[in-house]
Amino acid sequence: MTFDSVTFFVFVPVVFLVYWMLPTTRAQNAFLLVASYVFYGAWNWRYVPLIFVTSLIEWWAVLEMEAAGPAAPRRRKFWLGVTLAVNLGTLAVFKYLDWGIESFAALLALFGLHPSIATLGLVLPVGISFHTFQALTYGIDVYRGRERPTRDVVAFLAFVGFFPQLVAGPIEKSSHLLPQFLRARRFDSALAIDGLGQMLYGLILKCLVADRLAEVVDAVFDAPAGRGPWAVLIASWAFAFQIYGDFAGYSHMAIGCARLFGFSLAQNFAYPYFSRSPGEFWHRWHMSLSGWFRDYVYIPLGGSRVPWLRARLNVFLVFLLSGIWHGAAWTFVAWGAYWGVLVALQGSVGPRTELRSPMGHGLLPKLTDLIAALVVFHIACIGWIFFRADTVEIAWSLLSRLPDLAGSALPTFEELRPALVPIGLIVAWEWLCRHQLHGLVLRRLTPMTRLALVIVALVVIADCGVIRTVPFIYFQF
Amino acid sequence: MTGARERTDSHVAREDRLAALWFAARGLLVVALVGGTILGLERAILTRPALLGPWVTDFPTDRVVELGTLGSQIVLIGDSVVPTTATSDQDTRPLPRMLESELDGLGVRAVFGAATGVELYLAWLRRLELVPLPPTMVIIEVNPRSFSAHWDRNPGWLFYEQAAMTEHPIFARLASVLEWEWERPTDAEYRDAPVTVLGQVVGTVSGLERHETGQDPPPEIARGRYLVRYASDYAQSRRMATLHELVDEASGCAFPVLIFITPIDVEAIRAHLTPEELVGVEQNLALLRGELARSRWPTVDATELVPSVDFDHPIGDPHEHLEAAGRLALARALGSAIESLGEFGAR
Repeated sequence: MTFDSVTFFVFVPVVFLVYWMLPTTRAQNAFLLVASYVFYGAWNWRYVPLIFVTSLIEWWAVLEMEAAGPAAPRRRKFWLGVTLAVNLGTLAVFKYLDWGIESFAALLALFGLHPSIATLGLVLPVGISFHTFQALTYGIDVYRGRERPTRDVVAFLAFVGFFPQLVAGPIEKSSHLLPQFLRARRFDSALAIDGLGQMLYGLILKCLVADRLAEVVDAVFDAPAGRGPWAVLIASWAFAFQIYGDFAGYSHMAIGCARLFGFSLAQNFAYPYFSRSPGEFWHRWHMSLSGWFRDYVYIPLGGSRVPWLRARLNVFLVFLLSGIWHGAAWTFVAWGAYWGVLVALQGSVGPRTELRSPMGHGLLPKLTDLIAALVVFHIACIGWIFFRADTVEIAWSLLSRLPDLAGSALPTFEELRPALVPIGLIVAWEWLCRHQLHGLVLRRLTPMTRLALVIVALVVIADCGVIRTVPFIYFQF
Repeated sequence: MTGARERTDSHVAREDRLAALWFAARGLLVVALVGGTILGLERAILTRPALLGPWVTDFPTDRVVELGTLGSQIVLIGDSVVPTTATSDQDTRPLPRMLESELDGLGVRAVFGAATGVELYLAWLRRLELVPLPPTMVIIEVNPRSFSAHWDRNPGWLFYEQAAMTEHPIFARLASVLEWEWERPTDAEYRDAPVTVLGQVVGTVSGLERHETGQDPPPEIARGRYLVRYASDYAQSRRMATLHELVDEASGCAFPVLIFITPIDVEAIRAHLTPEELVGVEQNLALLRGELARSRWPTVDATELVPSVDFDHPIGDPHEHLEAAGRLALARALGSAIESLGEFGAR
């Protein structure tokens, strides 16, 4: 079951009604847990026990860690090791083992050795990188003494498996989301309306931006041979907005959906293509992952409070790990390293910028801001070529064509139209909405205007949406 | 540090539950308003297809819209039997032209598609009821084989999505964009679908059809094809319910709707199947005849109208394309039925 499916739009109202009719938070948590596992099981029920057992071990190990007390640091470390081993071990087996075996075999082949290798060929459990990272925050924070463990196993299981953000985030820290499972949720009509607006906006991003651009992107990246420099450039622009529409769309739907149940999830995107530096881009793109790496990798490594070279190395390492987190392929390693170098050269992940109103409050941007944003966008596009290409060789091959842009004939409007229309519309809309958390804040509108907007949105999705299943890109991570 | 973790079971406040319920009720009202508005918009598209249809993606504006604006004519709806001719034909007129001759030149327009089924015919009929200038009469072909396991479970030959888009150009397309599959089986489910004859499983579609052996397979494979296509239990077909709806819709139409059962190669079927299996064929045809008998308009049962020699199909790959003599016989049968109506609509 995905967010852009009819099934989901039947599932959510049913869950909503039952959830709010339940008398206690414990009953609500138990119901949310069941609903979440039904949601996950609709994709592949065989992996429901995996998430259940790993969450249960995490919960139990953390209780043991707490029981050991500060007087037994070695026991605490042992139980921390258990939580790390369970989560990272699951990730390693299901996501990285086959890649490791194949990469090792490729390395041996360089020395003329051709061993007979066997891979497990396991199906990657959808969203495994998200829920394992979320579960990790709990064990680490309790170990650090920043959190107290909970004895409420249902609340903890519901926290890890919460269906709106189970398969593609935002990755929540336990300190933010778990307490919400432990106290009574309030129903706020205004927030719920805003949640529905955010869900609709996410659906628009997915159906009208990401899925439409997928055709342009796939045409070049699935058959790269013979593609000219303009085709590569347009496909990289298209992919930049495809992945944005896809992932930001999913995140908006997740956040909006969670609001219906009285939960507040972390913001995941803040108009990243209006960034004026690589560091700012990473403050605005997949913010929950950036925050996770900042808090659990970058700062423990010393952050910026270490010698100059070491600080830059820390930044590079964080981005390299972020690349590997995205996928078991050298293309993601190259993508992470590329951003690592860029952000490290900038100095650090940079000062925190005001998330709302990127590039100021004016109707038009300053010329210097506009140029900076265009440069950062194209820097991101180069990275996206590595991200989307099947191999590093193909990415290099595509990139090597770009210097010939000047000598190539300009594309016609008909060639540009499939990419530029969705991109142009979404850039213009987001520019106007950049002072808000998302692009469809319904609660400020009159009921009739809301109604008209919903009708128009649904008709446009029906008329311009793509009848082809385009899976959410981040589900594979 | 997060404190006081253990007070985990509190009551959900009554006002929150009431607020959520009130929100859900308002949501239901919004859904009704949105749904009603879109239904109204769809109605406008269907009644003014030439004006609004071109703006709607995937909305078939070509044939039915044109038909709805031409006025006085007969519309013949069917599958590939309608337009095809045989390479050996001296008389190369397809069925609609022959029917025109039988009706002294009264215009016959054909709407057809390869391997289509009653679901699409029903949608087209409903569209024709709404167009500004509806036809004088509609003739609808019902091919028995389309209810067989070979055809009615074939993902590529199911037209429920197109039919829905014809009737609900916004809602149905929205559902398709939102990954609604219209209960279409996968290719694997189709291949592995069990075939039953008189309630007994006799194999799978792929095992009996053996597509890979081509149009001139060995006799035992040919037998399997006859078994699947004509003896498999039509009662299990989803299309039977749609045929029921089609007959109801036809009976309610303001213009006459003549439904006919396509001729099938009965001699070849008898030659390939056992007497017990032929009972299955008879039961299937009886089902179809029973449905058609409910219509208030004349119907034509042409199943046994055409002799084997007048079919245009390889003996090992049976279908219903007709040679000129077969088409002529069918056109005459349809012409007679139309004449029995006297002035159209007088019944």
